[in-house]
Amino acid sequence: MPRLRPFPAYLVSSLAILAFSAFLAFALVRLFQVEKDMRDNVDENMLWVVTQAQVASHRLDQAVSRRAMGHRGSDPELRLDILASRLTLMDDGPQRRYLASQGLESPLDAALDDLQALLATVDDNEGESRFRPATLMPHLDGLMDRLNRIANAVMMAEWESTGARLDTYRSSLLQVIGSVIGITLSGLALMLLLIHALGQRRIAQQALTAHRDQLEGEIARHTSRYKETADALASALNRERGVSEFYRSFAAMVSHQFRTPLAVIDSGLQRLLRRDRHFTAEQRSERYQRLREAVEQMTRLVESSLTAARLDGQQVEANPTRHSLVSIVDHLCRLQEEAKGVARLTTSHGSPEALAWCDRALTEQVLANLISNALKYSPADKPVCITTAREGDEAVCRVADGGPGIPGDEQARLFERFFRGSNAAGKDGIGLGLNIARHLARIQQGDLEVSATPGEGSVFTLRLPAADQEERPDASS
Amino acid sequence: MLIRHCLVLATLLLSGPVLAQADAATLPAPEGAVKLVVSGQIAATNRGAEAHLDLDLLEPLPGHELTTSTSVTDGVNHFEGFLMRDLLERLGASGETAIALALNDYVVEIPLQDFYDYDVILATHMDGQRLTRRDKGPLWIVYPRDDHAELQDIRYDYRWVWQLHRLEIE
Repeated sequence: MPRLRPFPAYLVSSLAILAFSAFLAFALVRLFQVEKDMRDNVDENMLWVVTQAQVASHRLDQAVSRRAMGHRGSDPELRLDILASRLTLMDDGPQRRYLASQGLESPLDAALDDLQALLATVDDNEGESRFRPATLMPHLDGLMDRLNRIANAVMMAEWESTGARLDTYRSSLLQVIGSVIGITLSGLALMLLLIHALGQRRIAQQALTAHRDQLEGEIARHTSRYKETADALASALNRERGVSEFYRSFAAMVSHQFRTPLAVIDSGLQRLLRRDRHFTAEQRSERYQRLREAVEQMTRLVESSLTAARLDGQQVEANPTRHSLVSIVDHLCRLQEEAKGVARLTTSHGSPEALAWCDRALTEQVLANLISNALKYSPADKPVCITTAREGDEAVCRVADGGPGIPGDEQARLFERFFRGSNAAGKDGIGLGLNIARHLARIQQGDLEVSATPGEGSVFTLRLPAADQEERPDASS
Repeated sequence: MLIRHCLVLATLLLSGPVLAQADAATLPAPEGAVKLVVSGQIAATNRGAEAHLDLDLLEPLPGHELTTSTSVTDGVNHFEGFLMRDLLERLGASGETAIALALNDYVVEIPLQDFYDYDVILATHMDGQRLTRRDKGPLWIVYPRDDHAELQDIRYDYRWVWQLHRLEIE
């Protein structure tokens, strides 16, 4: 990256600007001086004034001569007045000052004296004697001589002053030309400095941009590395947390729930050991059957506990695809009837077909739990109705029984872990089934609800996101 | 109010030239010494096609005073006289230019517009003294030089005709 040297650059450009301004100011001052000098040039008028006075004196001379020769048209009075006005003008402030500056004050005064003599001669006399050439001529001749001398001197003075002025103009012109050259050079210097500064700025900007890009890249690299590490750490931690939660939950359930069946098995075995001989084969067979049931219950308990613990530890994942609730329900009913040999299940499917976006295994687990609950908690002569339907953007499956129903205050707690309703007394069960079922429904973005009327029965409703009709069902279904 | 003003203005505009012509037609012959002869495009004449004006004919014009410096005198001078445009209107003059002639045979053309753009006077007095033929009288065309910067120019200075004795309106 090139090093910027601001101080010398600013110094040079300041000097260039200073020189530019100085040259410009000097040139303007000179030009204004020349203009003012040309405008104030009053003395050019002087030669005209003096010449006109000479003309007036000659015309007076002519008029006097003609009058003497008897010409009637001549008007020496007018000519005298005009001559007087010409000399009065020369005597006025600016004109007298100019003549005095040229050393012509004494001829002017002498000319004015001659004029006074002429006027006195004319004004003091009357009639024909007023314009007698003999009396007037000496004064008039003197006056003409002096005016001639003044005109001469004024002409030379004007030429001198014109020459001097031209010299001044020439030197001013040369100075202005010099200034213009100075203006051009300093302007050129300024322009070069500007181009140089712009180039510097561009280079600096490019360097800055490159530096910024590099920094951004580095930051992004670091950040992505840290982010990857953090994500990996977070997911590892999550996994660890899930695993530990799984063990903690499973241990809690084992300690809470396994004691009872184990105690039942233990006491049954003790009784069989102690009183083996007193039991008939029938009685013994009955005891063994009960012990087997207890072991069966424990097996179910272990399975349920593992499922619940997996849910707690977030070890269960749903892989939703498109499934028909109709086919799931029909499949479950068939299995149930084959296993138990009962025909209490009735199904009814709404139109359009309830297609759900769900995990088939999890959904089967939920519905199997609901069906077995319905069969277990309702009288053996009452049917269990299973319906499926599409409601808005949900696929719904309802399992209704004709049992005793559930009291209102228990409905709210029905999905709590290990909660068992008052109607469940006397039935085996541990209070995990509905809790697991609702969890499984929720991890598929669905839900499980209950509505029940005491004395009339209960209705459990599974809601799942509906799948579109057009999509082909997944091959695994 | 506005309508009345307009009516008055219209009346003045219409009657102005009529009055001037009525006046112009009755320009009397001069009785004293003739100071100024005006010829050319004028409506009012009293000798042939010319207007010969003595002081009695000039002095009824509205007086006008002017204080200004000049290019040929020192300091500031006070002039009295009358406006050139009043004289031109009195004579019903129409045209573009006035050719001014002086007793000393000086001749200059002056655009008549000057007299309408500026209060140019025909001075009869300077600093309280009547201008005489032995100085710059009896009549001197004086521009209000100090009141207008553009008049401080040699191209206006030569229009200051003194010893004026003749105007030809073209």
